[in-house]
Amino acid sequence: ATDSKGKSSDEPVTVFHDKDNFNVKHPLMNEWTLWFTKPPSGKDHNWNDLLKEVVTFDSVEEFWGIYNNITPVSELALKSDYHLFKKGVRPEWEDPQNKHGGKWAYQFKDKKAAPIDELWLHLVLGAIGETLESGEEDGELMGVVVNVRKGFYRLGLWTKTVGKKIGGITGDVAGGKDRSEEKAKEILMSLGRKFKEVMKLAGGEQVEFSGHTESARAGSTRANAKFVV
Amino acid sequence: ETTKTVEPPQPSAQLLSLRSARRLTSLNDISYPAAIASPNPALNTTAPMGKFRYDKNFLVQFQSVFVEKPSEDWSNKIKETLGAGDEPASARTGSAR
Repeated sequence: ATDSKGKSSDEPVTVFHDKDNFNVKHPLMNEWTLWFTKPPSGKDHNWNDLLKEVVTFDSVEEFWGIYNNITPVSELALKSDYHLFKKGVRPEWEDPQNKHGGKWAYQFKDKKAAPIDELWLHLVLGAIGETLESGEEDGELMGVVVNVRKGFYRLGLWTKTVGKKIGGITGDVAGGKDRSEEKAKEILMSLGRKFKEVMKLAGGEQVEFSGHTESARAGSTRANAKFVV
Repeated sequence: ETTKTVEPPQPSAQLLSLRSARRLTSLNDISYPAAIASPNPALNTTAPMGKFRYDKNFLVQFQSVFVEKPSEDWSNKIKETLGAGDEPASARTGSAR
């Protein structure tokens, strides 16, 4: 309700209006933390020493400052990972908020053909823009991951549950006792379809969902695909 | 042999703006420049105050606009965190789990 002629000091000026003198920023729905897994360097590190917290942010502007000034996935060394997770969630399946969950994943085996920087960026924008889920109440998305390996790039989308209830949670929320199994499964399937869409995969390609604990027990992240899209 | 003096990095105008900017509580108050596509309103019909969803087309428009490093010590931080694995391993060995 400001007169357009009289520049009031609290008139909103975005970074698009004046990139060096703006006074409002675009908040994200959640705070996100970027993590990096450093490739092992000869010495026998354990994985916890290699997993590094990089930075936490909660606005669109901050995100681009980070993205524009960090190594693109295509230039990372083999055995590196980026993990972008909601603040307070460690990107490990043992984390209390991940241990009942699982992930959608896809491996790009033709590394040269995969536009990995663009794919990762679009997955990240889906996460921070909150368009992977149909709304905040879905509550399944924990984070997104990219793994750089010798034979492939793998992108993953981690969820809070595998479509089952988690003891001690009430309400129609992820893992809650009032959320039906049908609804829980449909939310996971919807995330899988969205993931596949962001990956720009042809209809014949499949993305697979598996639970973290099943994967850990089988000693392979590819074991026991529970759902496919 | 001379020791180089490292001048304390100064925050850019863009970074200072980011630090003092207030978080938007409504997207309706903003009229974006004509060249900028506004956020898709359909994503925020039921948005609580200040809790927004943003479509990819809106978000990518910031890529060429907000380009400053997020902090004055960013380059060092990135070197330390992402850099080649040549840090002294001794400080970390035997750490308790």
